[in-house]
This record gives sequence, C-alpha cells and structure tokens, in this order.
Amino acid sequence: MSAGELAVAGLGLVAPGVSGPEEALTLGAEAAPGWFRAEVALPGRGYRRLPDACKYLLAASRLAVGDAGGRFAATERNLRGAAVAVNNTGAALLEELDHIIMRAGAEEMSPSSSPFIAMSSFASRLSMEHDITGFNLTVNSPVTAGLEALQIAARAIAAGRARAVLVGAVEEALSPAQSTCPGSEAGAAVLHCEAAVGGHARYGTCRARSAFLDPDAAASNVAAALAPLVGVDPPGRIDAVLDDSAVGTAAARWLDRLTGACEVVLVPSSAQAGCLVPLRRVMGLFAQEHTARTRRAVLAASAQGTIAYAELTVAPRRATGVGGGDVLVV
Amino acid sequence: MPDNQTADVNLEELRALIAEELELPLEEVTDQADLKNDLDVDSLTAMEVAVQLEKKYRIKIDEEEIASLTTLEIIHQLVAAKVEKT
Repeated sequence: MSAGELAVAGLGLVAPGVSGPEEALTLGAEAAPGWFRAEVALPGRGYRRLPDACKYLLAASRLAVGDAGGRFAATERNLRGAAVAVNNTGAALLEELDHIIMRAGAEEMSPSSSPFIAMSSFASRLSMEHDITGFNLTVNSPVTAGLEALQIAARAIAAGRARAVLVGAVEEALSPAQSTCPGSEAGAAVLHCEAAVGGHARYGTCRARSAFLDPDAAASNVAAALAPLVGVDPPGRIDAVLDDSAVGTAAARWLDRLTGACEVVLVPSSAQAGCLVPLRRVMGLFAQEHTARTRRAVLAASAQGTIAYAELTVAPRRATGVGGGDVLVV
Repeated sequence: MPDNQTADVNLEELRALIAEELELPLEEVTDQADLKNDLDVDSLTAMEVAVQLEKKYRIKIDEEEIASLTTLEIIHQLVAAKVEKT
C-alpha cells in the first residue's frame, strides 16, 4: 500500500437488469421503462422532480454508504469528498429542456431540474445528500471518466484533502434523436473509498493511472502509452473496455501480447458508450469472491484517445454475499 | 379579504396542488401552516410551487413575491387577487 492507493469499503450499483454489485459484470441491459423505482430506492421528500440520472446517483450512493456501515457519516464533513464521472448523463435532459424553452418559454422550466443544465450539478446534489464539504469534482473524459475519478480520489486522499470519497459514475440513456447506435448506458455505480493505509479495505485496494494515445498515431504509439500503465507484472485478469476505433483496435492488439501472462476479457464498447461500464467492471471484480488476495485490472479507452487503467487487489472474502460479506484479514 | 375576491380560486384545489408539490398528505397543509418553518419547504421548492401556480392559474408571480408565499391562506389570497385582475 502506498500513496495513490485507495481502500474500497462499500459498493452501490443501480442499473437495469442487475440486482447489485455481484452482477455488475453482466453486460448492460437496455433501460426498459420503469426499471428504476425511485419511491423504493429514494423514499422521502425532495427527490421526485430531480432528473432520473441524479436519482440513480443518489440511490447508488446510499447503497455504497450503507454497505460501508456508516463510515462515511462518521467522517468529518470537511474530510468527505465526491468524484463523479459523467458523459451522456445530461444529454436527454438538455434536449427536453430545449424543447420546453422552444415550445413554452424558459419560464416553464422546472426550477428543480433546470440547474442540471450544468453537468457539475449531479456531484453537487450528491454532496448535499451526504453533507460533503471537502470537495466535489465532476469528470467528463469520454469513457475513461469513472476510472479517472478513482485516480482523482486517490490523489485527494493522499494530499489530505479528504479521508473518505464517494467515487461514482452515472449515465442516462440518450434520447431516440440523439442515439445513433444501440448501447447507450443508464444507471450509476458508486464506490466508498478511503485511504489504503488506515482505511477499511473490505473489498480490497485499487490505484488508477491514465494516459493519452493520439488517435492519428494509435498503432505506432500504443506501446508507449499502455506499457507504463500495465507495468511489467500484469495481474491475472484485465477487463478491457474498448470500441472499434483506431485507439480501441490498437489497444486490443497490444493486449494480445499479454496472452499467456494474463487473461484479457474484451468488453465491447459502442461509439456512444458512456463512462459507466469501466467503473462497473471495477465494482464487479471487487464483488467477486476469492479465498486469497487476487490481482485484477480494468482498462478503458475512448476513440478520442483517453486511456485509463485501474489496478485492483481484491481482498479475500467469505461466500456470504456482498451485502453481508465479512472480510478475512490476511 | 372578502369572499368574492377568492371566489374564483377553490381553496381545496389549491391545497391539493400545494400538497402535491410538497409531497405531503393533504391534512398537513393546513390553512395556517408555515411552509418554511412547519413544512420544511426550501427556496427551490417554493419556486417550484410558484411555477405550478403560474401554470394552473395562468398568472405571473414575481420573484420577490415568492418569499411572501408563507401559508396556504396567504397563497390563496395572492392567487385569487391575481386571477381577479386577469
């Protein structure tokens, strides 16, 4: 354990067709109407008029904070932080608000949803929900934002800016007019993270790194970008979230060279994918049960050239499920 | 305020609208209940109430008037007076 490493103490996932983090590795289902029941996930007043994506984020955060057993609330509010990844999160809402403005005028916009024109409002509302005053940051890098949020959280904790950080990714399905291919994501994943040293590594520890690969020189530069991320001692399994762009193709080919050294699980990504799937992979790998400490990784790349890599050390856990799983201290 | 000034605005309909906006049972929205102090209404929700009043009664509520929307009784008087003028 060292600076830059996070302990993961709690997991929360809200997504269509999955019941919790242990199913996070299943490929995302289309968001059928009614898949999310806000009245169950967020009982109480003050949520009804929020954008759906904000509800997903708040619901997932409640699950993560609850899963960590109240440790977040026990942290001083000025040492609580949030790092939230968003890509397509507000796109459908912006289109809806545009229509309201054009049809009826700006005065018809709901005061509760119009602040979400600013994409930072999702993290801000999360901070209000959990009384976070340390910091909140919104990360927008295409595809890789969730993994970069882990990197940002680790940096903030190492700097003493926060002691507990909610690291999340949230997406909302694109509207039919916006969607050019199937596969836009919906849902939210939140990890309750702490310092690796002195924190509660119930699910294990992780560290994240990022790089840039010029799409116009992807094939020739891929080794220089990926080799420092993966290092000389790859983990037993790397889940790689890649599309068929020049960057994704170059990354997939470079990963082929690891065959034999580790298992590479290619997770196909669409051109309009958001940032949720990579963080879901992190969550799903942490939720797997192992009898011994196990090394895993998630790699994500976007067509625009952002690349991020999260290296996990999954803690051994008893086979009692995520909600009630005990930690075997090793 | 005389009854004829509020005749066009049904108090119970108004109570139902406000209860819906505040996500509260009808019985909690009494005539005298203070929205901020008794019903925990924040400024954003008060704006939401104002927008819904504007839509339903086709009136205009100025921003500075929102702070004066303190009880159902006062809202009733204000809305009725604006409806009367339209």
